[in-house]
Amino acid sequence: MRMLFAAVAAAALAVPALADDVKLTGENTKVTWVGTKPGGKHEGGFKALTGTATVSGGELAKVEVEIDTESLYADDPKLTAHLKSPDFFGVKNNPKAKFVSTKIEKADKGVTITGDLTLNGKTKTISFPATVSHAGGTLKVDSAFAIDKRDFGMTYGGGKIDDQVAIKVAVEAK
Amino acid sequence: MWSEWRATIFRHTPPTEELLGAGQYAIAPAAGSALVLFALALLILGKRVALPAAALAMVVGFGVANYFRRVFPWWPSGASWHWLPLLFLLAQIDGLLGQSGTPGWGRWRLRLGLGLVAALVLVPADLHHKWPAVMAGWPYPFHARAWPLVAFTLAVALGWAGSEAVTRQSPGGTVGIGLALAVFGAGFVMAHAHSARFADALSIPAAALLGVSLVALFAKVDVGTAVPGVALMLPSILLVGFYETFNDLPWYAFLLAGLPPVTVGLLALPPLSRLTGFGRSLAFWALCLGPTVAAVVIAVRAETLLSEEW
Repeated sequence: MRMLFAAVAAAALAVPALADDVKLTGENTKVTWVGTKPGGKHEGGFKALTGTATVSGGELAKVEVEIDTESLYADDPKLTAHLKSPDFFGVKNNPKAKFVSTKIEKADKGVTITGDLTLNGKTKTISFPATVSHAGGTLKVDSAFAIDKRDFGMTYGGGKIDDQVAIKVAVEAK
Repeated sequence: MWSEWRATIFRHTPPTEELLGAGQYAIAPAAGSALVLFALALLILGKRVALPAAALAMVVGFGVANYFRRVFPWWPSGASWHWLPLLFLLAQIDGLLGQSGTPGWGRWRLRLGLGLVAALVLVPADLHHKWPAVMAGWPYPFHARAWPLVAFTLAVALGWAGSEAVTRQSPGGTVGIGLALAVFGAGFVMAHAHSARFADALSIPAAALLGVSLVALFAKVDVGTAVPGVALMLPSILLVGFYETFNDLPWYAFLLAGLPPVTVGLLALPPLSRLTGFGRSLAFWALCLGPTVAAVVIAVRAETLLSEEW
């Protein structure tokens, strides 16, 4: 009986260590982008998002993020308005963007995160490198990668703006 | 003084490369293909095919320009405005059916029917959030839902009937050219609403109508069947643009830009229908471009087109 109680207690204590959900918000998770064009660039990001990062055995196991696209901002207010229009994000029709990881593998430096990114109503599987640390109850994730805006139906104004958009993600969450 | 004018013009002119792109991939293909097709049809088959040829030229002009510019997806996938090419096609077919011996009540049924379909597809359920003039109060949902549906349906049907009637009363291209200029003006308003896509969406039918009207100007034929698609697209794009874009334009800038097909229709009603000669021309241009000029002035005062929008 004592053995059984000890086993149950050990299992109960072990569960949080096995799978720890970290809440992601616009405060602790920064998603920013840099768009380039011949002879110039613009920067911006998203202010509001919600999500969960699951840490299991000290390793990042799953990430789910939902971004409020109306929180999009850019370094020029007119550009912010233009990006929210149907020329780009069409935020009235696509108020949410979503990323759900399907696989997280160890790589030479950090991990490679693979998952489905839904943007502008289009879903595409993407993979990107990331460095992850989980110490002292704080999860840190840093990643820099690029997406092709054409993959997400943003084909308008082709040629004026580079199709590759640099994305940076920085998480520091408890 | 001159430098101030130059700065003002710069603030309200799209970047040169954007203008060239719109000209090359939207306006020229739409106007060119509509003009060539309509002219060839008249030359080969004669003036008796003017009505079906004008309707077909509009559809071809729209399709060719959309192929090059990709303003709309070919098949609807999500956003309400994706349905506009299909609605444009239906309007052109309806317009043609209405000309082939259909009685007056039958034509009104076609116009009101398509206007209601367009309203059901395009009028957003939460329009009252963006436009408090459309109240959500008692008797809900009449103010919030039914009233915008009825108003939009009537705007399409009245604009269609009015502009078609005036076009038929004055064979030749003048009415078409006037309406095309008004729709280009509405495109300028949409550019100030920060949507190049919707500006192009208006420029394409305007250019196709211009192409057909230029031929009609010389051939002196009735091109009433070229108008229905434009009468549908103008209020539709302005409604969707008003709802989906982010800018400081007041609601009445969009409303005024959408009025010309309706105001032009006043010429078909007494006492204006009795006007002739210079008086009629003056009344036509005032009714056709008056609301557009007002909308453009309001847009220019409320917003700028700075090149830092990409």
